[in-house]
Amino acid sequence: MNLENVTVEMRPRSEWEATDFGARMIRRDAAAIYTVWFAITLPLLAIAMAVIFFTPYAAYALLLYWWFEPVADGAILRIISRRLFGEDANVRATLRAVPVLAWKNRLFLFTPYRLHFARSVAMPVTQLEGLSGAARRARSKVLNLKIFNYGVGITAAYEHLVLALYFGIILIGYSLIPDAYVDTLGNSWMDLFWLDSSRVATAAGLLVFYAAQTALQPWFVGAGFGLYINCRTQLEAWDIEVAFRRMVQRRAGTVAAAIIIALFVAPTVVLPGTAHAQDADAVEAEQPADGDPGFVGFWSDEDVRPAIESVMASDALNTMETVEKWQRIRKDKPEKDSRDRDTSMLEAALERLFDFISLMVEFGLWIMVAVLLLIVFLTRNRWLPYVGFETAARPAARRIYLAGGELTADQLPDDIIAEVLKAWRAGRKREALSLLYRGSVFAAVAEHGVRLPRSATEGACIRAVAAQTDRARSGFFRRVVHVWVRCAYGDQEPSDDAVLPLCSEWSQHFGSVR
Amino acid sequence: MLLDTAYNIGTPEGVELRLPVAGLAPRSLAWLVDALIKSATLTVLSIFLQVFGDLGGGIYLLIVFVLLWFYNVLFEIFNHGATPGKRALGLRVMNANGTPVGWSGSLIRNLVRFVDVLPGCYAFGCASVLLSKQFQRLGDLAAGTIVVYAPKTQASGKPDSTAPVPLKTPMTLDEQQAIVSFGERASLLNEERAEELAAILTPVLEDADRTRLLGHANWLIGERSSS
Repeated sequence: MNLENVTVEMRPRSEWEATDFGARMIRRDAAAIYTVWFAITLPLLAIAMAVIFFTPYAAYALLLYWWFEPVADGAILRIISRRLFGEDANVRATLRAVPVLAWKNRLFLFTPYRLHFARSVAMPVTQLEGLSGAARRARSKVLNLKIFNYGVGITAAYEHLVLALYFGIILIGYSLIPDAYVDTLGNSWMDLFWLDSSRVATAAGLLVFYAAQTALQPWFVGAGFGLYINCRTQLEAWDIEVAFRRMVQRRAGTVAAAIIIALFVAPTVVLPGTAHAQDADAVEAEQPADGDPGFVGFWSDEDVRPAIESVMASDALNTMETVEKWQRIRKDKPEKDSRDRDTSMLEAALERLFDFISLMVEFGLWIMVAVLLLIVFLTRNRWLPYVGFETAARPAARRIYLAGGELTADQLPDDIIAEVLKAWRAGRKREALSLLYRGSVFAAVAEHGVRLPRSATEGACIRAVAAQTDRARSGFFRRVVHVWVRCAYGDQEPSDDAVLPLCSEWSQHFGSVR
Repeated sequence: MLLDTAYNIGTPEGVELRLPVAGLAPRSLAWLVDALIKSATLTVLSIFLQVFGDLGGGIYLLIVFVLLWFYNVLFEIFNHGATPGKRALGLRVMNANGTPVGWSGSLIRNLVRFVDVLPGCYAFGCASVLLSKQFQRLGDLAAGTIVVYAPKTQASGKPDSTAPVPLKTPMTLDEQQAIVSFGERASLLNEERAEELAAILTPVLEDADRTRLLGHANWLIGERSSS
């Protein structure tokens, strides 16, 4: 295995994304994968069909097919794992390797492990890393920590999808039968698939199941492989290795140099236990058979043994944990008699209780309805305009948002001009002018129905008032605003001559309502 | 081009967005969660509404109608493109150009759902998701929407206390990122593997080892020695 030739974008993905990543790999080599799939499963299907028609064990044919179908999974796994590292998806070589693969996967073909809930993520460990026995269990434990749940998740998803497709295909067939015949067939056509035990019916059921599995099984295998690869990418930082090698390659300029580095640098470290770096070499553990020396020859057992032992002896792998939990202790006899005696009373009591509860619930629901109706009525002003009714216009209730915040009636005194004059004479000029300005804006909105944009600035107020009221009023408003703006932003305090006329004229233009 | 799950789009501003589209398994499971929620809601409601007799029956039918046709639409519009099931699986619906899904997109994709369901068990939808490039079912194709993994805020690795070491060799952005992610994930690797990775860089950085790379990583993320 050579990470330089990797043909996919390596990066740590989320687990679900990793399953999709597997689907991408299947899609890329769909032609080769389906060739291999049919080459392996069609003979298997033929055997199952022979069992149906020539032996008395027709009922077991589906089981037979289903049980040994993972042979094809192994072949698919071989193709996508090799393509991952840039090798060709060689159909012939794959088919020749089928017996070897079947032997590697013997655990999942010939033992109850066939029913493994996360088989799609467990198979790469046996097949690609070539592990078995205790080594496999230890390795699986490491991977399972991260991805077992997701392995079960995709098994659940895909097995249910196979079933859905199985029924879907039957429904398609059913919908293609002309109505006239459906009546004459009655239920017998559907019965064919799940009640009839005749050989034709069993064979038809098997064919439909085969079709459904053909559509989905490769994607399931791909999803499991995606999870497995992603898990190792995270554990062993493959993406970083790829990036580093690219970095070296870019500078060295030649691929040859990079390979030499890979050969001499990589084997300097030996990693047993959890995240096996040497598995980087073992993703395809069949290399020796294929004439690829790999890196296997660089280590002897003696070199490796001490490192393995030291890691296996480390605390991380030898933690003991005591788990305490409550367990119910069964008492055999005592309650039984009393319960028999009380049954009828209890039933009657329960019945009364339920009557009471249902009465309460009924009341509760009617109260809820009443409350809902009340809410609808009380909020009529909000929704009536939407249904097309005009509500009584209440301009005073309109909200005013100036640039500095909301302006409400209770911010203003009752007699605005009196307050303004009081403040002005007391020398609090800024406060006086501010009040005059805000009072004018409020009056323009409340009394003359001027609509302001949200967060209106002084200029926006002038424009709005000019557009929506008569000339005299808007001219007056403009003077008020100018005085205020000069004072507030220009820091030019106006003289009495500028302010007092505004106060005396104010009531001509505003203040009629309040 | 390398095979990848993400779907890259460029915006007019020259920003590249990476949309990680979601495939069959998580989407089926999200659908399952939604189906369970809907059926549980209807079951509970049917028990309580029985008290109302015919009125209750009418209300129940209205609720069934709204739930079946607008459950997905309303959640997708008002819940950032995610029904509760999608949220549970970390998925989200959006337009294929990366913008949030709107009323028309959501309505179309959920009306066409009834084609995806055909012939009764989502067979068309499954086939479409498996065969289309961005894992779109027919409704998605019609509405121009995709289902993506909602971005997770991932905690970056623990800041390492290694003293920052200035990086003298010029490096591309990708290369710098590789060193930074080495720094973030070194604590998750065992030490030998980290050393092995660092050793790869020997031709580029003389005496590259784990500590030195961690120093470079810290320097690249902006740490400077306090002295």
